[in-house]
Amino acid sequence: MPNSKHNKPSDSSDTRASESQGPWAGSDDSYFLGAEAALPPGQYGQTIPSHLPDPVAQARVLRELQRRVRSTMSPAFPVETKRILPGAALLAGYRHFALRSRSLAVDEFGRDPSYGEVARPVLDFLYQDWLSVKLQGLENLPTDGGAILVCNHTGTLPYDATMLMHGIRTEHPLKLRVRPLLEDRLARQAFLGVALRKLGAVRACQENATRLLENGSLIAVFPEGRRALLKKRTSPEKLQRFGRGGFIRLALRTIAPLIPVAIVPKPVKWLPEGVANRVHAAARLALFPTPGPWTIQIGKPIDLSEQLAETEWEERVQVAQEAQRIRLHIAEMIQQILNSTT
Amino acid sequence: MSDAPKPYPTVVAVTGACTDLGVETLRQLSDDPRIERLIALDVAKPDVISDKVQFVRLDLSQPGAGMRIADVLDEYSPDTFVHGAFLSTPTHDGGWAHELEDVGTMHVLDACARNPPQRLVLLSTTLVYGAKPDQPTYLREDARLGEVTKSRFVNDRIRAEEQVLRFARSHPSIDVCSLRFAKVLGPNSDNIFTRFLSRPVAPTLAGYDPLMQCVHEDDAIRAILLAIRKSARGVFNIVGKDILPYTTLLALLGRLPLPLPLPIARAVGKAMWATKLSEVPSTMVEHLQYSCVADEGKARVELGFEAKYDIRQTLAEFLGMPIDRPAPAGRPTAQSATWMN
Repeated sequence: MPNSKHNKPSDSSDTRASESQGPWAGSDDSYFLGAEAALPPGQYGQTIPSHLPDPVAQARVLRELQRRVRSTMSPAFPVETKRILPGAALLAGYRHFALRSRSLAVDEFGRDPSYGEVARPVLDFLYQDWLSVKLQGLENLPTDGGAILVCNHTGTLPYDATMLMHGIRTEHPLKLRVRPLLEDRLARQAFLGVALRKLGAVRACQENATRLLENGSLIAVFPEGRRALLKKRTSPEKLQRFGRGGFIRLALRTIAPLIPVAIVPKPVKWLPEGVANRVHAAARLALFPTPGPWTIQIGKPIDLSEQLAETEWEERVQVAQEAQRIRLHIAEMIQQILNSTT
Repeated sequence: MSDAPKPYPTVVAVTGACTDLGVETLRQLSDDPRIERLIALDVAKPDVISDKVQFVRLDLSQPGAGMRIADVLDEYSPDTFVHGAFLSTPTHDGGWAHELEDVGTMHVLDACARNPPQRLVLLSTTLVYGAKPDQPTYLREDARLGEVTKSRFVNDRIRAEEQVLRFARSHPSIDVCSLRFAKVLGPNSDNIFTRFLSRPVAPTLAGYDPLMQCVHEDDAIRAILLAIRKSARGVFNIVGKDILPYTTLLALLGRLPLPLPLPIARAVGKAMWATKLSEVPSTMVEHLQYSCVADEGKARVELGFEAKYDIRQTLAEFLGMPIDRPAPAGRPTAQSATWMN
């Protein structure tokens, strides 16, 4: 190979000469292409200017020709039907069948509208007949822009989240959608996690929540988490610790209002105390909720936007304080509902 | 680095010139009149008709590859280096793949450090994030890369990516750009995903339905050209519009899902990989379990890349079906995908 100065691409005649050797140098094509017979550039005499069109355009035409020839030269797998398999007609029927209960487009977090339609009768039955949910305080929801609904937990499986989502969707005049945030244990669960995602639930993490709030969605968080299972039957108003206050940090960062929500199942009064405790313990593990009127109370929004802290440690203290304040607020709401029903 | 615009690329070197992306990049660049020379580095001659293309035989898995690249850089001094010499499908010869991808990247970076080009573009994949249950739904470029798993196929890509990121930090004068592509599908692509989806039956995991994302090969090429011409810096996720659950994707393609319980799927996958009946190692099962979806926001804002094809159009093109109409501007609806009716 010539040295680098000799072979600068700006020098076109040299480029041409080196290319006549270069690409073919190691291959067997050189004999057939006559590269051996090529004379050095100076021995041809004067270079005749080419009357042919632009070499780039020529190459393009050649390449297109090449592609067309290729596509006709593979009779076993013509390009057009390469991926379509034998029995495609049968599979088309299957495809029609498979696409009946699923949408061709899901939203950006995987909510599947067709799946929601399929699940709707079940949710309606649960909402109206089995749990007969009373939903109060719908006017406290903002009609535009995001908000964080802070809810208490009522059981093992996320019937509370589903009922809140379904209730606001069906009873609110604007048919608002709430996206409940699921803790990891639920979101990664086989079958259940996928079903909840198709209904509209989202895995709980700061990135997902921020994205939802930026899109103006209502999100519902359950900061008690799994610890809610430790609650005693006799004291439903005693809430567990509210996580590490991630939802407060989220609210401070996105300036979204916090809306406290109390979800209160009817206390079982007609059973003896000991039996009721056992039923409660069993119901925590059961897949189906105990029947009875539920009350879902949506409280007045709490705005944190004016209270931004400056340093990290101040913010941590503030987050803990705010979490505690909202926790007590929701406990108070639960207590009021319990007092009014008895 | 100064804010002055870099000169337009004139000499471009491409490793992995025979890969789907490499050869199409060469074709597109050879049509660009401002590009003077293309250096194709690979073990075989790429299928490109152009007098700009200079083929140099280079086997990155050989110990002397570093010297060879250094010679090429000395001789042609390309201003842009596209490193795409990665395997499109996993191989059973893990040692060779390691030499090619991980050590090969080392050779490339060593040579680039000695004779620095102005730009270095790495063709990477979103597989490096891994599919894990504790990820956000949309992975940004600064997300933690997948832990070192048993999957050699992904591991070598992660190591290559880490080397390039380290190189970018120590060479601030070079515009180092890494493009992480989602599953590249299209009529001409041939890789692990197209092969997997070309079978009449596709395994699924019972109870799991991850969200899937893909990118059309034309969009992938456009992103490479954009990165070369705009002298992009940093990491970009290159993904197509929209996501679909895996089972919906299979239904759209007309493939029969074969639901398997997770332990059985792992065992069967292992057995089939060990007996070379399957082209996909069992460690990729996690991608059938949890989603690995990347966020396209940074590429749209900083690179100016916007995918032309949504996932349904990409699947239609993959099947070889004509796309009847362009995607509507707004959010896609069920009506926007009528090609299957």
